[in-house]
Amino acid sequence: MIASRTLSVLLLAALAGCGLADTPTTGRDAPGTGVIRVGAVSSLSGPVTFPDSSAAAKAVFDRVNEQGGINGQKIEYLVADDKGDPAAAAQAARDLVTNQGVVLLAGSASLLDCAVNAPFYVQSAIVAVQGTGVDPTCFESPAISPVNTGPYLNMAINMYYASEVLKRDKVCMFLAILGNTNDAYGGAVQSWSKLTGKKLTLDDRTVKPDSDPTPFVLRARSAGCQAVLYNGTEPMAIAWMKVVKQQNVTGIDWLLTTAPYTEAVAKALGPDGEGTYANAEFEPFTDAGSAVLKDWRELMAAKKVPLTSFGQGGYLAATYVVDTLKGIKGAITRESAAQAFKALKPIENPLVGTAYEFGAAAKHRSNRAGKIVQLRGGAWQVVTPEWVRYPGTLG
Amino acid sequence: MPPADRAVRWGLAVLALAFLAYGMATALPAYWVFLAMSAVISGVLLQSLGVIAGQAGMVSLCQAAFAAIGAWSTAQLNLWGVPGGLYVWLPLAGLAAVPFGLLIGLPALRLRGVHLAIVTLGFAATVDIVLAAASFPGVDLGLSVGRPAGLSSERQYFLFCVGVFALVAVALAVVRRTRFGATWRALRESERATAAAGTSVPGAKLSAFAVSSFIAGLSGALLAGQLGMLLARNFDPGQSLTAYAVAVMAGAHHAEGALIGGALGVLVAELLRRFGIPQQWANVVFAVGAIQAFTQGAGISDALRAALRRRGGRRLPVAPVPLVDKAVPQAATGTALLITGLSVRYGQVAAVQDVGLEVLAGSVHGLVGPNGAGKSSLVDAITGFTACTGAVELAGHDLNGRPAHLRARAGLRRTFQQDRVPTGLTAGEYLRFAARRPLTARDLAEALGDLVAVDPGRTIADLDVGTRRLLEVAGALLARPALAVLDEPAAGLGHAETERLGRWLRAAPERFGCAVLLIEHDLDLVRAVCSRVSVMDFGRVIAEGPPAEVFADPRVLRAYLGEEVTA
Amino acid sequence: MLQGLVSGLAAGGTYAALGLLLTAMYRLTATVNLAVAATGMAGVYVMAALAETGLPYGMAAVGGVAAGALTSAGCGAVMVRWFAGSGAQLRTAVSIAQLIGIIALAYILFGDTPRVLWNPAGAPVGTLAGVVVTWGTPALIALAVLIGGGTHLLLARTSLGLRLRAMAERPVTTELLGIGTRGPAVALWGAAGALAALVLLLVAPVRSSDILSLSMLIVPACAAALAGGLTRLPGALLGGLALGLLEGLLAGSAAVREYRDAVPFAAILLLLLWSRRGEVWDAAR
Repeated sequence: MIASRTLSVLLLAALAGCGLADTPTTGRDAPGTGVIRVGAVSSLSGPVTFPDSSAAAKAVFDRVNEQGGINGQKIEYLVADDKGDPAAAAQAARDLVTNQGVVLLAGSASLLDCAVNAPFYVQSAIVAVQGTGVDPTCFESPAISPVNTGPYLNMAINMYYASEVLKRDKVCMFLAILGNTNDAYGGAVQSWSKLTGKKLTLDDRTVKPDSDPTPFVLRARSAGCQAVLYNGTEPMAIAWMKVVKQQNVTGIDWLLTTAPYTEAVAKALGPDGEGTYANAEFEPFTDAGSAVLKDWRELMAAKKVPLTSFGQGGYLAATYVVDTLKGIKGAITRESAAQAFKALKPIENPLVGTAYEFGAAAKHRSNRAGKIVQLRGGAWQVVTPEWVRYPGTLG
Repeated sequence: MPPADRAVRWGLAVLALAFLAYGMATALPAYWVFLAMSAVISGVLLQSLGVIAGQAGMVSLCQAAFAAIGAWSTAQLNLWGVPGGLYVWLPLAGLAAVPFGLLIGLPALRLRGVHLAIVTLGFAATVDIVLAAASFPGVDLGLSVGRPAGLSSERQYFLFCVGVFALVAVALAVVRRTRFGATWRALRESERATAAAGTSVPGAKLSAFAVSSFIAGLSGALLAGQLGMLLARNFDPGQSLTAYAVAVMAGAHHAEGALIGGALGVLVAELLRRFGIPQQWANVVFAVGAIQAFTQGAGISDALRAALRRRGGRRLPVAPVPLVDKAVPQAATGTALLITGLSVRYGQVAAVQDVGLEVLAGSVHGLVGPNGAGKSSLVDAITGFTACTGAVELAGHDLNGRPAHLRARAGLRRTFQQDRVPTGLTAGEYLRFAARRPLTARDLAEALGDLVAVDPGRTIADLDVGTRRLLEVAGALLARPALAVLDEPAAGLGHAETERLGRWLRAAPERFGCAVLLIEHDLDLVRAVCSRVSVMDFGRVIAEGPPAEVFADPRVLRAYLGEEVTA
Repeated sequence: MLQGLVSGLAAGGTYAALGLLLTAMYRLTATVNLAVAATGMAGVYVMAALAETGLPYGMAAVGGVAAGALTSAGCGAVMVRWFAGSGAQLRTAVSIAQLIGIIALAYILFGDTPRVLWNPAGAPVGTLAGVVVTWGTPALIALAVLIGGGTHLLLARTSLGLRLRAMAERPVTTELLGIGTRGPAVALWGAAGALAALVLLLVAPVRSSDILSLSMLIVPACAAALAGGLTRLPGALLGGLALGLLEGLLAGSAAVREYRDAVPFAAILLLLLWSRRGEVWDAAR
């Protein structure tokens, strides 16, 4: 009995070897149906969500459809939820690419889409215009070019701003290392050191998302830090600044990344966060007077999408995609879309400090600028009307 | 059903499944192949839970952490470029998880139940912290885990995963039929009963953890091959918790349960996605499903099997086989058990004081006394379940200082007052487990003949307490020990059953070549069966001799039988 | 060094309070309620939702505590209805399923937007070793002592405590004796939920207040409870405090900072193995 079962298993294994090459993963491209399918893998539920990016991208695509589509073809935008779970992210990407036959991905905003799916995108010869790239893989894949700056360059800009613009001598950095981000942050520190010839007074990468910030804040004070950089997400940054207030620590500039640059953080912190800096990857969305944000604001208001930095990412990604697809002559397929992006000339947009690039490079990091904002009177105010462009390079 | 018939049926079933898998691999769209692959890989992880939680009954909340270690090893082997590809990395990854399984198994020797659950949860959280701080090898370089020739396409890799799942399932099914496999299920019920059957409890626990972590490590390696890139999030404590809930819900101790669980995980997510419902509802479904399974005490696979059994019709009751007299296995002479100066103290209380006792080989020796006389403490002391002073010799061999399971192996068996027969085994499996030697169907029929009518294929959970008790007695004697200590075997039996037990016990020394020490309150049974009787009171032996003499002794009447009998 | 210790006090109070809740529930209901921090988390989120509608903090907090109590009582009702006669291991396993369910439902109901959490005890008491200690720290420690003392009194002095203990230790016998414990048992679960919500209302404003982080406070709480062997109240109190202090201390030491979250776990494990070295068998006889 055992022998017969073993035999069957062996038979199975033998069968596995033959005649099972993958069929090429071309989607259900149906020319003439008049529909261009565009996908996104975003974290819509789970511990950290970014629904605004794909919502903003959808607003852009909807407007294009209302105005007649791309050369007469309507865009169908499919957003899949990865719930912050790698297995779900992999499943979502396979569904979009092999099942739904999307021609490209645009406006994705996820903690792990790139890390999980970058090899698959390369293998499927599909391009992804990431709305918000977070993990380092987003900036290191030939298939992905995010429109945002990313946490690492963001950190480098913050260091540069603290040491060169604010002229602080003792710059300290506290990092919560999640996943494979350690080396990417390390690269940012190295690049800044090389650029300025300075060293961090304190480089503590042991903050955990749920740890009590008190010991770290006290450490910053006892080390005599003048400027402290911290990469906490919204809840982490709120807890951090509350402890700063509670411990009555003064005389330090606190510089946060883009993640906590939200209305929710401004509201949750209130007066406790007075003076806190953050780094805006795009034209600061809280600046109601900004003329370049007029179209974005109106569109978001019309489509009832909240005004956030993520929304800007999705808007930009969709805008770049529409412009590029419009330039394609002939049928819009995965191949022609990929070709168009690989041959893309840099696109300028007033919402960002540097031009968007894709091209045939092995890695993409085109957004290398930020504007510094500061919490004053319970609201974010722009302190650098001009872009802070990072003069160095990462990796 | 004769074994040959069964083999054919099994073979056909496996063949059909193999063709089904092959058909799925060739006919399904690429996306569904990927989904099926995910289901099979989580099925492997669930099988690992089936061993540790389903069979051995230990709550382990760190299976994803074991999988993480397997995945990490695979990524490292990939980075080093170790030749052989996944074919070689897979078993190595499984092996890499084993030391960690043993590491968690070590505290499990002392910690059990809720303590173990907490320790495993802590381990899962710790592995998560360490993994989150140090990323998977090769991820920083953008190096994904490569697949070797023959596995490069998704379809081939799917079949590879199915093959691994099937190998694990077949291996576990084979182990399940062995005594070793029965050990895990016995452990679930009672550690004391497991040791009393001559099985090392630490060995059983460690082996369960080792096998379980090995399988979990395999699933981690398969996942590494499937996704190429891995994150700590693939294996966070939440995944371990959800896996536990799904394993309970699906009944992962059966292979089909593990597969159903894996498929559920994928299908629920897929359905929610299709209907645009937030993915988090999946976990609500699993939570409710697990609680439902807990209320039933059975998962989906158990329910399926029960339904199949019902459809297959009830088994006919088996009539007792008349006793066939066989040649005496070994002529026994001399002393089976010699106790001298044995004392047991619990703190300030002396339960047994300076007891001496001799049981002759080939005899049935009674031990009686009022409640609290120290009989059970004496049994625990002799069999190694309680610390004592004094000397215990079994057939001339000194047993002092030996742990319970080694005493059992040396030929000193016992039964328990409480019902400790593992309910997860069938009657036949239990008897083989207790006997520690190969038994033919004829051996079983002969041993049970005249004692109790039971089909060896029946699950013990379906048997009444009296039948379980008799099975326990039969199991202890089937081991052919030098001495079997039976602790109140007649408690809870009916009159007819007790008489049958008495007849069977009288013949037992000759049939099984052993001596019996019978602790019993039923004095009629003692009179009928025993050649000698010892009486205990207040921790001391107050009388000893043939039953007729002893029960006439005025000290015994006063101390034990009380006024009413004298009158 | 001293600064590290003082900065760990608040965390210590948190772990001690939750650890004591676990211990008390284990003794009174024979369940290691792994969902206890999650029920408190539900209370915090309901409080935040109520406060957003413009309710004053006090009333919102009462609503939050009530929500924590209700969630926990719901879990308790499931336990009493279907698992009254089950052993501690099974009941704990059920609480694992409840934990998963509560977290998932909280994500569905509340999402991941950070909440405005007013700190009721944010005013400073004084400065110790250069660390500003807020009212939250003594409040948490006092709450822990209160939970411990209250449980002790309930167990030692009241007939209700005796009945609940009997129910926890010998559910079937107690039922056969005709002692009704279902109502009080559910009420007890509710009270535990309310206390957990109270603890988390004090903690959430100064820690990462997302759903998962708050729910997973159960891990250090378990470690604290284990320090008391799940049964000894003073052990859990001291264990929780020591764990918090150790965490604060290790945050300042360069050598072990990286893996400091693993150190308490290892310490507890060793402690447990040592304290249980004599116990060999699963049942007394």
